[in-house]
Amino acid sequence: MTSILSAVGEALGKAREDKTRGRLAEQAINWVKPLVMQAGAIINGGVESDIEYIMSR
Amino acid sequence: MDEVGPLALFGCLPFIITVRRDQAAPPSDRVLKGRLFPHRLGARIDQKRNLARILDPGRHQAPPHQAKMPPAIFQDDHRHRLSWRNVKPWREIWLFKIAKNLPQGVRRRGDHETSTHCDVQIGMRSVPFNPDPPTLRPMKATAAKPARSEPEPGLDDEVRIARLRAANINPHTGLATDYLNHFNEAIMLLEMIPDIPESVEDFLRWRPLSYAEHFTASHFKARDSPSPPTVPPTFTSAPSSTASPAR
Repeated sequence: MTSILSAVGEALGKAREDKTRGRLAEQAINWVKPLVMQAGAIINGGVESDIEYIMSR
Repeated sequence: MDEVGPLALFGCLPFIITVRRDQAAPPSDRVLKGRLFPHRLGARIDQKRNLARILDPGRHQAPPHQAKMPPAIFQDDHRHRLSWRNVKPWREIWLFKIAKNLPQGVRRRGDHETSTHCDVQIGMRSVPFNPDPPTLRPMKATAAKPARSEPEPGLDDEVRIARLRAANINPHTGLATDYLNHFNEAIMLLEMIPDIPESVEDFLRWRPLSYAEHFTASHFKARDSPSPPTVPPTFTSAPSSTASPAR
């Protein structure tokens, strides 16, 4: 997550077009969100990243 | 054509206009229809009825504002009115409110149990627990090898687990999802960029933090304790070198 966000931040700093920045931001969200979910699963001791599994415990 | 017929006699009577929709009945019929109480249906919205008719407003005027206790005060025991279960506690309103409104963040365990009382909350609002700062021991846990936190002396396991769960700390790993708030903040800023391009500057000011750095920078009470929380190996991949600006 840190690496992705750092790289995205660097790319956003170089991009000048708002459209490009927007698409890059959307891509980054799709990359980072699953990782956040997996990190939540790890923190909660789950072996699966399925959020439903975590919430049912 | 001009021959007078037998019905011509009725033509001598005055012409009688029939009563239609917006016309009143003849006075002789009104008494019969209205009987002895012509306005017995009572006052309407724009017509307040008093005996003395002194304080009555005009036809198109609002009725006088009279002090009247709300029915909820006198009928507070009505079982179909609002009760405690109708009050749904919401999360704290702060910078990460949008990020915390993820679907799993507001999910409840039962239909009649608020999210506040749910044992496991992966909502991004968990706060590290500090039951007793002088005797607090570091949270020891690893992501690859889940381990129980070391029990505090004299503290029952069940009580300890209950307290950890109440503080949104997983009792098995000893970790708190509050750390993920930091990344949810970045996601929130990214989500703003397509609609508000100027928010790029806000995202560029975002800095990655390690697990320990996050709690050190937070208002966690135990951050000043002599032994800081153990950093899980998985989250040590955000070293101080990555604490450089994101750009």
